[in-house]
Amino acid sequence: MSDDDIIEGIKNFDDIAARSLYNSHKDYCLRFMNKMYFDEEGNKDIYQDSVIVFIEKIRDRKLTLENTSIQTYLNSVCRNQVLVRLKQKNKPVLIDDWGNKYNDKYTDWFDEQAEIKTDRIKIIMEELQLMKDKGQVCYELLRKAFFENKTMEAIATSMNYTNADNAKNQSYRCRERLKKQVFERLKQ
Amino acid sequence: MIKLTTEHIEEIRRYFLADVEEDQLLILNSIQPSYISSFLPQLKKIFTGQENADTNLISFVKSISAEDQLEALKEIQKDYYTHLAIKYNSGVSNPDIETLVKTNNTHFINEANFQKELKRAFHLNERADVKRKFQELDNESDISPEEITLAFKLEERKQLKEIFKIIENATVLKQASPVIQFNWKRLAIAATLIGAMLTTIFYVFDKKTNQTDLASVSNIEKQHIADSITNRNSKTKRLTDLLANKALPFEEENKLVLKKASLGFAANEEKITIRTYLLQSEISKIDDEISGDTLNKDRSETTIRSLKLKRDSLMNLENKYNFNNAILTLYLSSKKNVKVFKIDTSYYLKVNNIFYECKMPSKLLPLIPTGISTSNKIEELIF
Repeated sequence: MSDDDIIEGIKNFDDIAARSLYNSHKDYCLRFMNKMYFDEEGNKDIYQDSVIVFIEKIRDRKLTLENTSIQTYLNSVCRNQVLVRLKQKNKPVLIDDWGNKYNDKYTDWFDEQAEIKTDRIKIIMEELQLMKDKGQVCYELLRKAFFENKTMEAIATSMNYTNADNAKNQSYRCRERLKKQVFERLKQ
Repeated sequence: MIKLTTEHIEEIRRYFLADVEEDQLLILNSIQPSYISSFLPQLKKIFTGQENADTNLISFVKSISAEDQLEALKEIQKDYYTHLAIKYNSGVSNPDIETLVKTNNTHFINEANFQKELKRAFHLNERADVKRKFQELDNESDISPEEITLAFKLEERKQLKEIFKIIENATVLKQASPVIQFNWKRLAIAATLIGAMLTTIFYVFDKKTNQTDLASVSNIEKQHIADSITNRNSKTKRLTDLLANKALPFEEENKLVLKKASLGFAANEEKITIRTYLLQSEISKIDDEISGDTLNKDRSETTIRSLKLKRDSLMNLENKYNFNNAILTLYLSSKKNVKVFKIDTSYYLKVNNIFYECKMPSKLLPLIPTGISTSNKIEELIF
């Protein structure tokens, strides 16, 4: 798949695009990270997180690759993380000669504040997981409405509602139900 | 005054949840009766009011004698906050949102915050999900140590089953009556009987051939007669030879019996004569005869039948042994490296790399592999 196809697929939550993204850039990233500092498991972890960062940035419309390939972006993010971790451990870089295969300006990573899991967030995550495990329609509805940011028309079509208003009403019912469950647990 | 009906409530809901102002205006202008449209701005003011929204809503429904619709209107109010919070979190603003933010409307602020948390919860769940999927992708393109171990285990299982099959087959053969007896007396009697049978058959058919109804005798029978006449003696001889094993090649050697205390050099060490019959070459010769590969051999049905019998007998002899007249006789397919061991009072054979029990029987017994622990014990003797 081309970079553009992958990006378009990522925006549409397409699994095939995510797989292609992961598989086609992995070897290169791991090879040069291992040359910088050999840590097979650690570097694989960095690579996975870098791909997730890329996916989230694309979906949140917070990243536009101008004259840069996905490979270069991932190389840059991975390289930066390896340097950060080496600095934390006071270890030297073994080799750092990548030509123009990375770009210093790409140092994206997870927003640490957003990483904090408050009790409320944890409970919401658990309740969502319960909904998902039970195969409840509410999970799909909430996910499409509040996470994938799909329009009500699109939701109505994909979930076979008669019209957008019905889809909207149903999604609000689901949200109420989730809220009720969450606050009940918070009271305990 | 017309009471508020369910249809009116539905229209009111559509008004408040309309995505664009134009839709709201359309509903405003189309709602019937038209005085109900005057309720809408009043309700909006109550919903976006700074405080006492609930009290104001109760007063409102009382004023229009629509107390039965209070709950429905409260529902619309909640959905309205949800609707505006979605817009607010997406970065969209309108006068109602601005008012709610400015007046710090608790319901609206709480709803907006909850939606942010909901989005974050989805993000974090999704992240864990994606990481799991990446791990699965890695596993797909890799072979784990567990998979390698399992592959070895299954291969080992297959090999063990094959060994067990051999043992089972050997046990079945052991239980079946032997095809050939190796008692010389009986051997001589059998040879005489066969000779007599064949002579009789020849005599009867010889007589019959002189009769006028010879034409009614089938070709097979004619061939049988011919065989009987020409091959009678050679067939008997062949069978006798087989029974006497005179035609089978063999090798004979004196082997030292290896024991724990022995190193093989003392003059008074136990020795045993091993005679090994090599069956495969004979079996191959017979196969050639059956398939007609050998020239100038008779190819009648009877001959073929007897050849097959002979071949089967030889094959049944394979991997058997006995001990008579101080000779340990082995029947093997081909030449193999044979060693003899003794632990306590039990004898064992090592044929190439496999260990077998050796009970020194006078009658033919199949070679049965020993268990792993016994093999290990014997190995210790050698090493």
